[in-house]
Amino acid sequence: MLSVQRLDDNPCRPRHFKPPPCAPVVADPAAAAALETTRTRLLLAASLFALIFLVVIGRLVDIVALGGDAADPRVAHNRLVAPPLPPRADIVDRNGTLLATNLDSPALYADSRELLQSGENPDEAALRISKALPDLSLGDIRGKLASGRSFAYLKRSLTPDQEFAVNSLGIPGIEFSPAARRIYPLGDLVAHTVGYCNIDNIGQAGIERGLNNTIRGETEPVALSIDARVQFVLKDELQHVIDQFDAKGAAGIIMNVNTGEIVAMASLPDFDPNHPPSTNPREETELDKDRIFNKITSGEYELGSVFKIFNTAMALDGGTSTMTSEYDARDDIEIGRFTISDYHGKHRWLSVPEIFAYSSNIGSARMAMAAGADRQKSFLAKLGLLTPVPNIQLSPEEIGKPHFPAVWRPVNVMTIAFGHGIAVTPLHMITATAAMINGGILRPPTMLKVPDGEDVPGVRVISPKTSEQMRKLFRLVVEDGTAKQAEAQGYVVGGKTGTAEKNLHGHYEEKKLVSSFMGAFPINHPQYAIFTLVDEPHGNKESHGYATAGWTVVPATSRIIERIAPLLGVAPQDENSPEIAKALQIESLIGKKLEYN
Amino acid sequence: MSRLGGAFWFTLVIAAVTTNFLVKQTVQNLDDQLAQVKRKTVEDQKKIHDLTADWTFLNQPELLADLNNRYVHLVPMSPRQVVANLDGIPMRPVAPPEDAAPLPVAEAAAAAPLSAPVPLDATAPTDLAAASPPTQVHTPAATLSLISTAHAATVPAAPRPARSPAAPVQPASLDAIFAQVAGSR
Repeated sequence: MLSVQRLDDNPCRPRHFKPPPCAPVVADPAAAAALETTRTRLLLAASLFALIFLVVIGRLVDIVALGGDAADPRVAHNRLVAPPLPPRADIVDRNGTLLATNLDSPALYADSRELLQSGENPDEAALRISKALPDLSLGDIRGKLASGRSFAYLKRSLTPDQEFAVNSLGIPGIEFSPAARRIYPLGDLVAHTVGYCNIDNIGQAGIERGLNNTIRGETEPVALSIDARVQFVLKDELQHVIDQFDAKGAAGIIMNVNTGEIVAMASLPDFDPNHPPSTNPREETELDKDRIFNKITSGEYELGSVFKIFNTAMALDGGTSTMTSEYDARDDIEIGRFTISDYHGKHRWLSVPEIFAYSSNIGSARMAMAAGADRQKSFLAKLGLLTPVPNIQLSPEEIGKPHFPAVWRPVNVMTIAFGHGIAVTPLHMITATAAMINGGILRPPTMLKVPDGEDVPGVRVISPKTSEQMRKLFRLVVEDGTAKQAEAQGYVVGGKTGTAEKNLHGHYEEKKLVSSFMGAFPINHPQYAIFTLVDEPHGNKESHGYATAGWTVVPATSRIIERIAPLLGVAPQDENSPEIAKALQIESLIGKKLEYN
Repeated sequence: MSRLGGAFWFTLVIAAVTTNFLVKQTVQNLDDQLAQVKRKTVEDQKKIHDLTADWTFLNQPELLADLNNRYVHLVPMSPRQVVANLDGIPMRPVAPPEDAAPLPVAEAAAAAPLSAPVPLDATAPTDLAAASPPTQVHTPAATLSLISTAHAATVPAAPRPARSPAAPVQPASLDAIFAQVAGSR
């Protein structure tokens, strides 16, 4: 070893001299074996690293050159800029028209600490803010600005203009907190159906309340069965009736009889859900209560003669009467302290179609007595007329509970036959009537859109034959009965009128009427049913002083049908064609002419 | 040998670094672009949403009805105007003058009523067309006649489009018109 060192360090070494290999010549075999092991390990480690790098290179080539795994969904997903979730889902009508949505509407709050720290004069700032937002009181703002607290709402739900105005004042410590406000672009048009929300976006009425949790959790719009155009026609015509007959209110509902979808529902007077009337008991007026009240779903009415629909169907379906049965309607019935008499008294024996067309209370009472109390009660129960309407998308507070006698005595049987002594909601009325004319299937009413062509399951309540007889009776009333003014050009209308005196504190008020009409079209193949009622109408010159259904809601129904049928895609027919007349002809009445006195 | 190896590895490293840098730069640019597009999309969606609300607000049926009453005076469509199926559409009712050449189908349909008053079809009472103002149109046939008479009254002397004197054949049906059109090609 020494010799090697010496050679290398030699300053006189020739330039091209290469020293001999400097690795020590190891003679010791044990040392040589150890060295060999080290080399092998080194080689192993090196090839391991080379392998790793090869894998990395291979993967790089794969990704860059061959485009492997480009469509890994996680890659795109992580970079998605998700829009902020709306606080409540939109509500749209059956055609997608927006009924309720959210608009950004920030809340304005004052951070008084920051304001005071910045050296701003709270009085002056308050003055400037009150100029931008004139509806706030100056003293109130000043108090909040000088309070020293770090958070106080000045105003919630600012409009874009107000936001801009306040923002351009540039006062430190006046901040916006982002918030969304529920707005109803169609205003009062669908007030009762859609309902409204409070400032914290909690539903307070209608669908907003009934489906509050669904709407809060969803992002997809909730599609209602309502058609905004049909709704407008219904509301327009009801308002017309109110104006014309100086009525207290009116209500109407249109239903697809084959699906149970509520196509329109109006209750007047109504309200603007963007500015709902106060429900605070201290501030609420009688008018406010009336405006919020949904007569269709919450109002329980003794509807009078329209109830003869169910009485007749019960008698025909139960077999206790046939279309040719006759009942003695010669004299009034005296029972207990009641006297049952007829409005269009005939004072003779009447057949079932005549009882229906003349709306004979005496005949109906006798039909009901022939059927018996048990049959009557169970039939009405089967139609759901004795229980609140099930499964409707409303909160239970808004669903009316029918009133009926606890003990079903003969007098009750008689009065219920013509719709007194039992109070149901218009929603009950139209749901049950739809089953009477659609072939006998009772389907629960719904406010949500049923997809086109989907069959809605129902319960059979009457036979198809009875249903056909009911359609003929409906037609008879319009063709030759109390609802002649319901005839609509191009559509075959059928229906039944009802004019009931209001029961106030246990006695009936002769001058306070609830006039209603239960109509359906085209009655030869029913598609839609319309129920309208007007509350306390007053007769006028055109109606010859009458405020009965035939003069008030019946003509309105005719106008409604003519206006909505093209919108609903109901093909017009020649309503006077002999084929249709023949199909709806009641055999026992051929050759007879109904007469009124 | 080892220098050559060194140069090779050095070049490779430089190439790898450059490629890496370029790829990374491109990806970053694309990422920024993507984020921008997405932000813009969300913004646009919000605007569309606000405008939809505005649109619905401005299209309240009540407001439209009021505007209609004030300016255009349209009346609701009468059921008589609705044609339920193809059979309900009347054929062209009258023959054009003898010298009329077969026009292209659309033009022929438009021009035909000009030549003579149109007899109303059976379902349309004649008094409707006569009695109602021009806005209250009740039948398709009446529509045609009203428009055509109005047109004829305002421009009685309007020059007709030049027609060739040949081919006076009046097609009797849609099939005949199609045959004619096919034959003329």
